[in-house]
Amino acid sequence: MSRGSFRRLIGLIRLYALLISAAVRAKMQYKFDFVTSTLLESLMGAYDYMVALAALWRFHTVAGWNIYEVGLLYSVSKIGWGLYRTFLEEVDRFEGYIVRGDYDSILVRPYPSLFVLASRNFALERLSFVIQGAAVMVISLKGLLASGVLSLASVFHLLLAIVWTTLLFSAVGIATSAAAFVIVRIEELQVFTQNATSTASLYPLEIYPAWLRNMLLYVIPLGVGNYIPVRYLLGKGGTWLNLAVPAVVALLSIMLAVWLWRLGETRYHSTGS
Amino acid sequence: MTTGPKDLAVYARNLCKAYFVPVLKSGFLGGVRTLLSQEKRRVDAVNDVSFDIRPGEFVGYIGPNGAGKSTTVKMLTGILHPTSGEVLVDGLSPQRQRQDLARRIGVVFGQRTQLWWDLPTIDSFDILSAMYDVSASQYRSFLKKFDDLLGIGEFLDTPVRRLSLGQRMRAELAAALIHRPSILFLDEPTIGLDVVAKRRMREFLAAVNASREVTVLLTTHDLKDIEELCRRVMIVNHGSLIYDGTLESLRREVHLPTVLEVKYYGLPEGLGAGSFIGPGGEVSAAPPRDAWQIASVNADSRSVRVLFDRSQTPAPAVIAAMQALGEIRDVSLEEPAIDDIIRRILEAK
Repeated sequence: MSRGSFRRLIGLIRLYALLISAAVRAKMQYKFDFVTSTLLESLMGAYDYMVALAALWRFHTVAGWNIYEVGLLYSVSKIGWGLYRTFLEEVDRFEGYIVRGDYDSILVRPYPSLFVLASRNFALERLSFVIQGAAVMVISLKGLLASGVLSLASVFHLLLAIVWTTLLFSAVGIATSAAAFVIVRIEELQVFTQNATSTASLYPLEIYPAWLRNMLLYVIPLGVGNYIPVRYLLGKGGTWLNLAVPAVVALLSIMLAVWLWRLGETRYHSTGS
Repeated sequence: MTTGPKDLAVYARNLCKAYFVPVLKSGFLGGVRTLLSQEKRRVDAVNDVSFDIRPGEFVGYIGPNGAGKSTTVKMLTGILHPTSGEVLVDGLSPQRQRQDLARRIGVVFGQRTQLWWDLPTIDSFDILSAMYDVSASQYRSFLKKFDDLLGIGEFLDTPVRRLSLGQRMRAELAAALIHRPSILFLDEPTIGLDVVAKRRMREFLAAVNASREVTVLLTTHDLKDIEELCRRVMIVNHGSLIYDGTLESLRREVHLPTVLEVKYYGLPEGLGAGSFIGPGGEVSAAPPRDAWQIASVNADSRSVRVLFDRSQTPAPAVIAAMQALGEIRDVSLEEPAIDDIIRRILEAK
């Protein structure tokens, strides 16, 4: 990296910090709203996990995965989803920008539009997903490390898996929101590409019919982020490639998503004044 | 020295923007079905518009709602991509070099804030100064200068959402100029402002452009903005440019009559709306050559309004003719209103 581009990167990070601190300060003007939405988010997430737990206690294992192993899958996906929502909340809520025509003011800034968009919010309330996922991960790791199924080296790979999962959720989110440039309303599309798939990716893919499994691996590859590496780390098959493939797929997905975003941008309609 | 497209503030050739609006589907998975559907409707928002703007000009861009004003401005600022045509702003392509261009232009959308709504106004300036790499000393002199010119100092600590519209527009303008752009795009900056705030805004805009260092393109519905500020006006209707020139030549081209109102001590006999006055004061029903039509007669105020064309007849000649009819108490002249001129040209083309 040349000196110039390094300085540019540092400048960008400083600007990002400044922008999100402004966004958070603005949000704190409405503390009640913040507190209630965080609480509700956590409660709903906890409820989600309770349901899964109840099912597991009943059957002890799901498709050969015990409760700690499912917990590992669950937590990687949940943390990845939480980080995506925390950093890219405005991408997720992009429909509103198109409907109101607010994207105009993003485009007159001298920075990449996704950067400007993302820096308008740092969704602290979405960290509840991360906290919830982390709690499940700690419980699962305790169980698995004690039984010797996992080594400390695998913990490092799990952290990497979280990074790839976050990137994959981001790629799916960006690509879905890019559709709003053309079709404006994307809520239903998001249910299909994000909500349904992120829920599905919480559990071992073995429990799904082949078409859904294939979709989660090849079309909306959220399963590549957690299932592929976790499966190998737990000794359920696969090779070291299970650790490398997620990185490649995640980076390619992000590139494809950003390309789609740029393509969509050329079709941006704005709104009348 | 030859000037090419790159030396101009704005160079636009055959600019077109057509929207292909997908016919929205409703019902189950409507969004997905819309995405997959090929059914589209074509809307020509801007149609073959060409113009140049030289550095330092102050250009008014007017036209009825939906005429294509905002669409043009959005293509010049890199927000929208033209369907076809060429555009350069300050020598850069707004689409291919959007981020570079953003450092050289300032944009104010009257209807849409660019400030941080929930934070004190000063925070917006702080953030923008960082965003545009404004040095600390430049930033200090900006705050000082804009306090002098726009009085922004009085509300720096107030959250943007609590500013009056007049204050907010002043803040928006200051924010658009913080990085010293060479071109300023203003989309209806005076909309909704009261008379005093409008005047202040106009005085400020005139000052910004006074040294000719900042080129200004202003879209507005308030034609007083145009009259007071713009040496040049472009009129757009149904997506096409129908006039581009000075306000004076627009007045000449459109030929709307000037109104002379004459108040008498005693209203002369035999005058009625629609009759004509000749140069010697002779009244006739049919239009003879060199005669001016009476627009209205008001018996209560004993006044007569007569229409004449200033480019053909000097006002004193008309006054002399009216004087021949009776003793005049008072006269006043009304130039054709800019609104009427614009309405006329919009109707004609």
